[in-house]
Amino acid sequence: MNKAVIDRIIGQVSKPVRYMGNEYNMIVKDPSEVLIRFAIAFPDVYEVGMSHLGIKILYHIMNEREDTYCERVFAPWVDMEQKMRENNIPLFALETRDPVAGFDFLGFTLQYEMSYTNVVNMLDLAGIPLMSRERDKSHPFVIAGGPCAYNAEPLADFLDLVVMGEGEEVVNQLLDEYREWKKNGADRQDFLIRAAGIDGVYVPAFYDVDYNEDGTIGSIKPNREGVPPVIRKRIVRDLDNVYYPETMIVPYMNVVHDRVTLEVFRGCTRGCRFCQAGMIYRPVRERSMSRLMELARELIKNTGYEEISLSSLSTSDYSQLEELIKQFMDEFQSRRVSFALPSLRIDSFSREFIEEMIKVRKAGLTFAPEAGTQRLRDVINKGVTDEDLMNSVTQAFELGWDNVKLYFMIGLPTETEEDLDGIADLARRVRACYLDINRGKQAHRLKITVSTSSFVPKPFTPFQWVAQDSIDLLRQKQELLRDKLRIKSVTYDWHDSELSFLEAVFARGDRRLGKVLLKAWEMGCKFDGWAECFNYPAWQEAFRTSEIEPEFYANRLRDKQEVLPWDHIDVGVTKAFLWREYEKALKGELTPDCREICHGCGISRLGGGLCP
Amino acid sequence: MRIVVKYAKEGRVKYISHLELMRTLHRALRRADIPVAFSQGFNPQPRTAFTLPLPVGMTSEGEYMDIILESYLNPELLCQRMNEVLPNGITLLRAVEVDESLSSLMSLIERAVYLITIYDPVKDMDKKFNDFLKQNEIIIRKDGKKGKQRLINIRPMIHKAGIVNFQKTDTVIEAVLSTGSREYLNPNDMMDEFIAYAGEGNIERSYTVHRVDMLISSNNGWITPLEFGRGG
Repeated sequence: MNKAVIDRIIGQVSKPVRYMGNEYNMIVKDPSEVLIRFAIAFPDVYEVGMSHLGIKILYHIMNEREDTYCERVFAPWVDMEQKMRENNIPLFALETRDPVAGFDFLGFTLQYEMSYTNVVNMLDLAGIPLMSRERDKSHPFVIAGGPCAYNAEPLADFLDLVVMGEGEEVVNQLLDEYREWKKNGADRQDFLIRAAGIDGVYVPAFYDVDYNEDGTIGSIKPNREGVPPVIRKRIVRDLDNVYYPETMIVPYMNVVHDRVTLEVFRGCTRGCRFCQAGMIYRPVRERSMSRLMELARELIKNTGYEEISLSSLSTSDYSQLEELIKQFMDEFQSRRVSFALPSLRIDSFSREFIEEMIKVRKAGLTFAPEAGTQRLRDVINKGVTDEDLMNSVTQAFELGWDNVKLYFMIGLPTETEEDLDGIADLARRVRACYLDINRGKQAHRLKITVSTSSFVPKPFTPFQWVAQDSIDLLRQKQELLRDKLRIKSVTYDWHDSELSFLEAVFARGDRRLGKVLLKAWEMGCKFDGWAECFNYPAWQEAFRTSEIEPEFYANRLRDKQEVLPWDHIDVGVTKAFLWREYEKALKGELTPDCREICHGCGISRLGGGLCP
Repeated sequence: MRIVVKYAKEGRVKYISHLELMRTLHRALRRADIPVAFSQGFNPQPRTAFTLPLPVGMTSEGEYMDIILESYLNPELLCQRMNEVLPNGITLLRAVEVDESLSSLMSLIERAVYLITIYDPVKDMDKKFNDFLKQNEIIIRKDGKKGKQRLINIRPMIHKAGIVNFQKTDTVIEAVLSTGSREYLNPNDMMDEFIAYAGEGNIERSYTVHRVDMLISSNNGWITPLEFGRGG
């Protein structure tokens, strides 16, 4: 009955394909023949979630198990949600269209702080009690992972379990444990205790947080025996031997990343001080070229995709990148499979490299100097110079590009107006460079887009202690830049500073924010990252009624001794290292790439011989 | 080598758009390792041509695609290999080799045959439908360019229509409608107009549309594209 209604309402909403399922390579199993049903949830729309590599890996890894059927669920867009609520259709999985409330697990990936209201909304749509303590044996275990899970404290009351680190191995241990528990028929608490015994699994309810009078945290301690005081993240040691799917679901819809994604390595050795990914994904582990070629062949054959992209942080750091690209071209060019490379560092952009790329497709070029002056780039340890940028831009223009994008952050620690001037100067120099190369001709074809985002201090980075600029100050800086960038051929766009402020609040938030989240959701907040849905006044009201000052989280400078809400999580990189990096930042001292010299970040504690 | 393929789009996939369908078929061609020819130029594309888009939400067993191959492949083998790698609901039904000099199907197809099922039919449906068709003119409003509304007489675009199966729970209409690049009538427009005409316009009627086949005018009357491809 419900399924007929689902079929009908899908026809009445925008982009019905989001809810259709039935894509090529979707896994079909008979739910009555499995012991464990897992709904893997991405708290945003289908086309965003289906672009995410982690989901694809976990989906296939779990479905390799005969005892488990893993299905997908995404946040229904507002029109679909309305239809679902009108027709009493609970949140359902795409594969079977069964309600996820009847599953054994509902697992969210937390990629972005501003998707937290969607997590709450999806629990509600599913008909699952919002709070962990309200759930009983009839409900699924609500579990989370992903980069934001390292500080999932604002969601602590809503989640039963959190997995720290890379999920490939943990997930199988967790499902094995669940299988045992389900056979024995013990109570819900018993499974949580078993799960807390698995390395990397965090059960928020097993920890108590107490607070000082000034609102800072006094301590975070286990409230029962046998629970580790510190949860250390899990990593995969060898990427060549870890599971990687040889098939992927091929969406009908044009999703954000609609291509074969090949993960070439994990981690990053650069040490940019603002970058959370660069710290939490350490150590660097590469996949071998032969394994990558093997995966590429299988994936192209099994999906029919016309494009492959390499995925990693700072992809041009792959030790055999040029050779890899050459092999790809040799093998796939004649078969019209093209090649996409995201996140290039501007200092590594060789001419031969661009020429190789251009053979297949000519896309727009983005350069990310991040800051406008050398001084500030040294503060953030972004080891590129003006000359690096100008060399790369010159090459691009010589090869015929006339559309470039320059990406910067504003509000970085120690920033002054001089640094903003630096942004405008760079834009001017890029323009002059184009005119020079084209001898003043075709000036009308040149398009330079300067884009700024507002810096959000993140946990587990050297800037985890700093105060974010206030909304007003960020706005002033944006206005200043707008004036400074009134330059021919240059357009300026910037991110909403209210959104950046909330990101900063939740990124470094603690458990007390749970009630704000709940309140904001009650007031209708969802899809906060989508401009058409973002409702800042509702958020302000939610903070006011919860008697919580968001500025305490976003705009306050912490001192060295303060207990941070995530201090009971060990991501490998130590707090002492981060503090050293913070002090060096304030002095403008660089820390070179750790492939050159080890800086003792602490990651080697996760096992010997890990670092390259 | 040029092959004309007849295919079906049924079940859940009725919600995918024409662009999505094209992409799906192109990717299936690659999975099936079909030696399809590519266009020249900066962004080479598979040399395929599709008939007019089927509106989203309709099913069909009469869609057509033209494929140019680089080398010879038995048309039946092409169907077989494609069907192994297509998602549920998209099925290649027949394929025939046609002369490369033949005009494109796009330009030749003028009509299509539809089966339209109304659930919970209008009262006195058969009489009302006949009355509806007896009108000399059936004028509908369509949104034109620049927000202007155009008035169109759709009666000449309904070449044949009648109730073929009449039941209390659902009634099936068979209709032959203009479906070409010069003259085109969306079955939804005809049905919405009929429901309004029947005087129950405020009741939300649910109906489904299924396309049975497309038709080309020839010396031997109206024939299907496959008949045309085989030389009429």
